[in-house]
Formats: sequence, structure tokens, C-alpha cells
Amino acid sequence: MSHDSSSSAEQDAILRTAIDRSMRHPVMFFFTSGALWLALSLVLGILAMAKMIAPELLDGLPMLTQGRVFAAHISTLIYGWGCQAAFGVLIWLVARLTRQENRASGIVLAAGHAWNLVVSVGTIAILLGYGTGVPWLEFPAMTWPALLLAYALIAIWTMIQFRVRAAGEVFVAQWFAVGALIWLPWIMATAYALIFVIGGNPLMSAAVAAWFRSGMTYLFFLPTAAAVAYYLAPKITGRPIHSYSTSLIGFWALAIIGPWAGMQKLAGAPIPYFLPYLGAAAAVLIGVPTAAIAISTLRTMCACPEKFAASPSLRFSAAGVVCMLLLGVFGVVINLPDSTLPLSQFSITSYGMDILAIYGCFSFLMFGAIYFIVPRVTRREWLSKRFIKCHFLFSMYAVITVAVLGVLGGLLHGQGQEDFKFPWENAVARAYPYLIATLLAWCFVLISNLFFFVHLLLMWMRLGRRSSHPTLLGHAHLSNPHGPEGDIDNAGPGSVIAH
Amino acid sequence: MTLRFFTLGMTASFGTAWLFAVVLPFFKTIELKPVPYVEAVDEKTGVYFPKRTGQITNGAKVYSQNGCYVCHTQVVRPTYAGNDFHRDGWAGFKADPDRGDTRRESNVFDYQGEEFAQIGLMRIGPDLSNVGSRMEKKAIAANTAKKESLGDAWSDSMKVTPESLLFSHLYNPRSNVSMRWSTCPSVAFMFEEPKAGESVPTSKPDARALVGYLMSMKKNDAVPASMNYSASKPTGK
Repeated sequence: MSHDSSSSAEQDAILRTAIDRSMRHPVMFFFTSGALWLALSLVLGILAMAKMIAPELLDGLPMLTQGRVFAAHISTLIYGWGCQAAFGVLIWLVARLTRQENRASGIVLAAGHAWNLVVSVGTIAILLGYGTGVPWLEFPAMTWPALLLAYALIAIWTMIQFRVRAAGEVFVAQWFAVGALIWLPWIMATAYALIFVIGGNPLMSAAVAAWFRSGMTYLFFLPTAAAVAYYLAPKITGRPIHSYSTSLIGFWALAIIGPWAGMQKLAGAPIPYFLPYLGAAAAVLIGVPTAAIAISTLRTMCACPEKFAASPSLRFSAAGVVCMLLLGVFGVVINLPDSTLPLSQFSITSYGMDILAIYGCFSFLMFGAIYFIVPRVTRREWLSKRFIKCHFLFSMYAVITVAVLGVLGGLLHGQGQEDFKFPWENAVARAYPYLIATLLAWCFVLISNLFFFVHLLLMWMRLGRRSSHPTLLGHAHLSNPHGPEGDIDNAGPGSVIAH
Repeated sequence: MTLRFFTLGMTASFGTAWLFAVVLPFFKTIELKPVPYVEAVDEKTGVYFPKRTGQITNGAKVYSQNGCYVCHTQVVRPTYAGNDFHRDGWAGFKADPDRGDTRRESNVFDYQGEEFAQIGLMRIGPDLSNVGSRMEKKAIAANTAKKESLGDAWSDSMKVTPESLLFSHLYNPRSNVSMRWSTCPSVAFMFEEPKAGESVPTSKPDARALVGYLMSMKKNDAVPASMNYSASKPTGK
């Protein structure tokens, strides 16, 4: 009996190692190139914010016009960092959960290079003044089919894995992961076809673009983040998901509500009236799935306070989930028609919400996943807990600054815009301090990501520690806070059983 | 959850919103229909189907490529959605010397000739729906003041044109003392090298297209009563 279980556990470990090995190159490529894009995006973001405050900074260079820099900043943040981090995490996650090796890692790696090439071309085009001017779709129109094709080559193997997996329970994390993989191309292809190929009423094109922005946030970044939270929370704590039914509500509520949101950004514009107000209702109701996801994952994480303190992955994930909760709550606060929607519609709140969604919620969970995945695929441990702590603290300061000042301060900015009896410069002056705060926040994020990037680069070069004890943030523990699967069997597959 | 249920659920939940909130409204609004005047209220017959003039296509392209939409919007919301209507010069003028109250909210014809309506992301700068009208008013005011101060020395060649005000703003948004607070970036690269004694040098084609586009933004023409929801309804004279 005991022999049986030990040999099946051994086979399990061998299988996990094989999956990780098959994934090493594509996953590490997505993470490192994503981190590089993140750094570039942060530099551009800092420049864009600085130019909003001091417009004469680096004046005279057409490439560095504020509008172009801002467009390049947001595009690199989404397609350079966001999408690539998500791809790396999702393909690894689905492979592990369906227990299959990726047999096309060469193609995935090549497609990843193609994706990077297209993002580079698009970014350079924006800076040279060939952007389309469609928010979040600023890369020239011809790049979108290329991105979709590269995406197809990256994701198809993962979808096949999901299709041919051995029958059995589909884990919660898997619903969100596969959901994100299906929603992304659907949204992107729709926006591309309607705006750039068919071309309808200019206002409806603008409405579709607003829907696309919201779709990317709520139907790609959010479910990817949720997939990570639902994977890491039980994995690290060793407890089952707190409430299966809450998770079920979270998923289907997101699937049903998410696609309606977005067009509230066009409230008052001459498009059919029901569209912006349906959008506002959906944007408020997004609070339901985010709360459901956040509560069930946070309660799972909080079940093990001691692992909470020690595991970097868990710490990042928990912070990300708190940001997700905040995102939902703020979505309710800023999207109420007749009271706050007019204030948030054109104030800096919208940018604050984008940062909170992409950096606060999504990226924190990606960092959590990266701190978990990288040691497994490289078979080396993270070098320095101090680097991880610096990464966490600086990022946390930045996100708190943005959440409090960017989002809520933006409402005061909006109030200034609505006070029509006072001159317009009063409204601009109201935004000023919050723009400075956002600039500072981006500087903090840049510092934190230098730690992250250097650390990741060292891991990529396989200079990590050769040890079977994970890098933890607290003091040494007797029990492994990563659970029975937490150890990396550096002495060869199966050796972990000897513990 | 079985795969079948999952796939069906995903298709149904996303597909419904996709179809009814995105695809159908998109195709239903492709064609613009002229709005007929009602004789009893509008005091005229025929249809309302305005045409925009100016370098719309090229100018809109320059506007998009340089990211003007990050800080400027182009929509005057009805009063139920915001206070844009009341802000001076945004929706039109409350007391236009010729036409009285010209204020109105944006309508679907205002974006004709553009591929993408630049509704905009944030209002760090003012709304531009009526920037053309505002510049005209500003130019008239400047000319009147100059004429009064100069008296007989005034000649028509000294006239300030609304276009020249926009060129000056594009070249250096802070050149005017009253606009020192502006954080608008300069697009001096759309101008030639300045010659001695020139405050605003010769413009390149991009700047001219952009100014043409901005001057086309006079979205305060009279509309049929059936599509005028303003607080003080001017009749469509």
C-alpha cells in the first residue's frame, strides 16, 4: 500500500518535471521579455506624466510629443508586458492542470518572438507618428492580424491540451484560464474588424473601442489574475478552495456581466441611449464577480497565516486579490449615472482605474505566479529575499498612491470640471497634484521593477540557487510553506519523495 | 462542470452581449438618416443633413497621430450626463450677437467625415467641439479692441484671423500670458524654422490640416426641434 502511493507520487513528480521542462523556454521568454517591456513602458509612462506636468520638458522632439508617448506607454504596458506575462502564466497553468507536456514549445517560442517583433514595430510606429489614434488600439491597423496570428499559434496548443485532457474535474483556475484565452481573441478580432476593416459610424467605432478597453480589462486581465489566485491559493496553503459555489458565482457572473461593460465612457455622446447606461450598470455590477473571486481566494489564503508571511507568491497574490476587490468597489463608486459617472468619465480617474486594474490587480498576481513558476521551470531557486521584498514594498506604495490619489482624487478633478461657474483652469489645477502623485507612483514602480528584472534575468541565465529549499520571506520554517509539491527536486525527479 | 456546458455557457453569455451591445448597434448605425424638419415647430420644411467643410480627413489623422485625444475631448454631453452645456463657449454661445442662444449638445452629424470619433480620454484641456466658434469670437474681440485703441492707424492688414490664433497655440500654447497655466505640448515640429522677428513661423502641411480640422469644429448650428434637448430651446431659424 505504502509502496503504491509512493510510486504514484514519484510518477507524479516525474510528470510535473517533464511538463515544466517542456515549458521552460517559452515561459521564460514570455516573462523576461514581458519584464523588459514593462520597464520600457514605465519609462514612457514617467515621461508622459512628467510632460503633463511640465510640458516644456524635452520639447521639440516630435517622437516625444506627450500624446505619442502616452499612447506608446499604454500600448507597451498592455501588449508588451500584460499579454506576454499572461501568456506565460496561462500556458504553464493549463499544462500543469491538464497534466500534459507542451509538445509544440518550439512553435510557441517562435510565435512569442513574432509577437515581440510586432509589438516593437507597433511601438516605433506610434512614436514616429503612425498611430491610429484609437485608444488601446494605437498600433497601426496592419499589425493587428499579425498579433492575432501570433496569439493563435501561442494559444492553440493550450486549447488542444484542454480539449484532450483526461476526463475529470475541471479546476476553478482552469475555467478562468480558458475563459481568458477564448475572450481575448474574440474581443480583439471584433474590435479590429469593426473599427479598421468594416468602419461604421465614427461614434460607434469609438463605442466599440471603449468596449474593447473594458473587455481587455475585465475579460482578459481580470480572469487571468483570477486563474492565478485560484491556482496559487490552494496550492500554497494546501487547503481546498474556500467555497466552490462562490467561485462558480464569480465565474459566471463575470462571464455574463463583463461583456456588457465599457460604453459608459460614451455617456451623453450621440449613440443609442441604452448602450452607455447598460455599460454603466454592468461596470457597477462587476463588483459582484470581483467580490466573489476575492472573498473565496482570500479566505483560502488566510486559512494559513504562517505561510502567508513566508511565501513571496502568496504575498503578491494576496495583495493582487485585495486590488481586485478594490477595483470592484471603485467600479461601483465611480460609475453611478447621475452622481459619479459624469465626474469619472473624463477625469484622471479613468487612468487611475487602468493602473489599478493592470498594475495593481493583474500584475501583482502575475508576479505571484512568476515567483512560483520560475524556480520550477529553471530548476533553480530565487537568489535574494531582499530583492523580492523591495519589489513588493515599492510596488505596494505605488499602487496605494494610485488607488487613493489617482482614482479618488480624479473624482475631485471631475468635480472641478463640472463646476461650470469657475474658469476651466481651476479644473486643470485640481488634476495637477494627482498627476504629480501618479508620476511618483510610476517612479516607485520603476524602482521596484529594476529589482524584479535583474532577479528574473539572473534566473533566466540559470544563475539561481541550486537548492531544494525555496526562497522564503520570513525566518526558516521546519515545514515547507509551499506544500508537498513546493520542493524542487534538484537531485533529480522523484528525489523529493525522500523527504 | 462539463466541457459542453462550459462552451455553451461561454458562447451564450458573451455572445448575447457581443451581438446586442456591439455588433447589431454597430451595423444599425452605419447609415446616417437625415432628420426632417417639422413645419409647426421648426418653421421650415425639408431635412437636416449638414455637411462639414475643411480638411477633416487629414486634420483628424494628424489629431489622432499626435495623441491630442489623451487630454482633449470632443463631446458636449446633454445636461443629464454632465455640465458641459453650461460651460462658456463649449456648447455654443448663450448670447450670440446674430443667432441668440446657439448652445446645443453634440449630435451624430457632428462627426461626419471622420473615421473615428475622438471622444477623448481625459479632460486635461478643454472640450474642442466648438473650438472653431470660440476662436472666431476671440479673433473678433481682439480685432475690435485693437481697432479702438489704434483709431485711424488701424488697417485691415492688421486683422487677427481665428486660424492665426490656432497656429500660435499649436506653436507655443503658453505664448499668450493668459494661457500660462496651459500644460498643452507644443507641436513646433509642424512649423518651419523661425525667421528673425517672427513670433509664429510658417506652418507645414500637418499644422495647416490640423488647423483646418479644428476650425471645422463649430458644432452649434441650429438643429430641428425634434433632436434639440437643450434647456432653452432655440427654434431652428
